[in-house]
Amino acid sequence: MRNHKDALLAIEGVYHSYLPGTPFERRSLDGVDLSVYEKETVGIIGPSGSGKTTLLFHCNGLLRPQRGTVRAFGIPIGEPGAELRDIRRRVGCVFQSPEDQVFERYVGDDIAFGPRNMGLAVETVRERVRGALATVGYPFSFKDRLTSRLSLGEKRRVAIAGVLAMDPRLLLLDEPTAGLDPEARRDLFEIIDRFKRRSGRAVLMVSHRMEEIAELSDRIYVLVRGRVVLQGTARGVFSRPDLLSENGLSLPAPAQTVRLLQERGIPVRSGACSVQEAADTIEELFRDRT
Amino acid sequence: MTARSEFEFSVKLSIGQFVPGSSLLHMLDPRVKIVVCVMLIVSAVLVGRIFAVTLLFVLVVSVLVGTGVGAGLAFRALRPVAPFLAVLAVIQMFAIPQLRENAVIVWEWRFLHMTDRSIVSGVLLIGRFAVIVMALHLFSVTTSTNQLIHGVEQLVRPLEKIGVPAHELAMVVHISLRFLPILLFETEKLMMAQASRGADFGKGRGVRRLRRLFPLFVPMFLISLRHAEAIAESMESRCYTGGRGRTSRLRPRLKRADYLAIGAFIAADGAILAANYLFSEAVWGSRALCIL
Ligand SMILES: Nc1ncnc2c1ncn2[C@@H]1O[C@H](COP(=O)(O)OP(=O)(O)OP(=O)(O)O)[C@@H](O)[C@H]1O
Ligand SMILES: [Mg+2]
Repeated sequence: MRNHKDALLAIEGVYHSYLPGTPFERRSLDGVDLSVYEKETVGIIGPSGSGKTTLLFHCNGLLRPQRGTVRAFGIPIGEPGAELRDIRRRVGCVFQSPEDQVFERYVGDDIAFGPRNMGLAVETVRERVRGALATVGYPFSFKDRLTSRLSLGEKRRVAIAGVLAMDPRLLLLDEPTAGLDPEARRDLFEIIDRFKRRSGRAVLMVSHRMEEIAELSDRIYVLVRGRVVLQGTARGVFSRPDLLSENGLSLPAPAQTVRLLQERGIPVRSGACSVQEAADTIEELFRDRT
Repeated sequence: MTARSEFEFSVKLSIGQFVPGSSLLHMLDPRVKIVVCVMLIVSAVLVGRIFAVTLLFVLVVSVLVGTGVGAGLAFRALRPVAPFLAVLAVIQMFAIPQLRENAVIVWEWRFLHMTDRSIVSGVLLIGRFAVIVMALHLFSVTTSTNQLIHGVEQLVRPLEKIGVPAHELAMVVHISLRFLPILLFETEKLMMAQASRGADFGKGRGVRRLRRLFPLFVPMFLISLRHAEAIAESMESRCYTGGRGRTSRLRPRLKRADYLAIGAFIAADGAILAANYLFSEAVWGSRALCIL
């Protein structure tokens, strides 16, 4: 059992309402517990409006817990004196909509925004921009493009580069693959993988694509109406198709395929979440036959 | 003890915002509410007696409570300005020289004088302000932007004969009103985007704080332009050509309840105004009555 103290991010009993104390008050988080440890990718799934984005915003202090505690790298975010700039430097957040995140006129300026705020030297900032652009698969000359003329997918990559340029230790990703083509998506998985293999890093990711959550996450939280209704490994979470479909979620396609085969009386082993695993379990079947 | 997020402006914005409901006030014609609101404000400025301003206050509160809207929201709106109001009232009590003529000094210390008249004017200031805030609330909380626009347009329409472009005027009001919350929300999002990449909006006061807002200006300008373009485009694509020959789905007609409401209100308001002028020193010759 991991010691709770070692968590890079520890969220305990967090409640949040939008527009508190007004007639428009709306409970968005209803007592959430969540933790992220080093080298982990943690996935959050949940129907629209279940509070996923709200929860992510609590992880770098964009929102402060109205009740409960949030600790990132040991710093309690709820405390009035918390050094939020330190936290935000270490917890990078890629927003759900890159339109909301990319605000400078030129790509280069936008990616440099974070490093400049960290007070880095001009040359270092330049290197950071070059490195971040290379990571998302663009040449250095891409820095001179106008952000307003980018396609959505391009903008998303720039947004990711802007966050990576700060070299955060915890990466928050809010539906990072929406609007990306399959190749860019694979590239992103590659980036995430490389990122979290370095020491002291971790990823917390929200997605509506069960397949990618199943494939990337070490642990998954299922958020429904501001509550964690299920958590565990991909295998554990996706062995509860009833609970998921009740809440408007589904199984990843490979798991669904296996389940359909089982319903038709074919004795496939359950538990496959990724395409690879599904292929393996089906192959097993044929191997047993022969 | 937990700290508040530095970006949630929308909470402040919700003050005075339309709250959908089915109270009597919600049902009334927007024109009636505009007239009531304006009359209340004018009366609050006109009256010069504490009892009259108190009666006005009672009138607004009882309208709010009696129609099922409730006065809680309006009181909340008063809370943030209360300290300023108190300071203003104190200044009024001590520092307005013309209030010292023909007045009885109640309290003095060195150069500070407090007279019976200055106390009255301080109290009046608070009373007037409270009535005006409540009156604006009575209107804004129960009237949607759409209704407001129709109300304004219909009230201004008679002036079309002398060349006032009623519809265009209403449209301008409408778009500006709609833009305000959008812009505030966009600012909130932009600040969040900048803050999450290390910009600092947190501490500091006054000029320092203002200087931190500087990097917001250019992006906000661009965002506004983008919104304006989107509005223009969507108006074009719906063949908007201005007010001429345009009919309206909502065509508010004054109903019996509207006439009753406005009648009752004018009676009450008129009575208060009349009392205000009648109970004066000149008529009764009594100082006490004049003060109250
Ligand atoms: N700025 C806001 N003001 C008021 N209510 C809000 C605001 N942002 C979100 N909400 C409400 O809070 C709830 C949770 O929103 P949130 O954005 O966290 O959902 P989500 O799980 O990220 O949804 P999605 O999958 O669609 O992105 C929703 O019901 C939403 O309507
Ligand atoms: Mg979201």
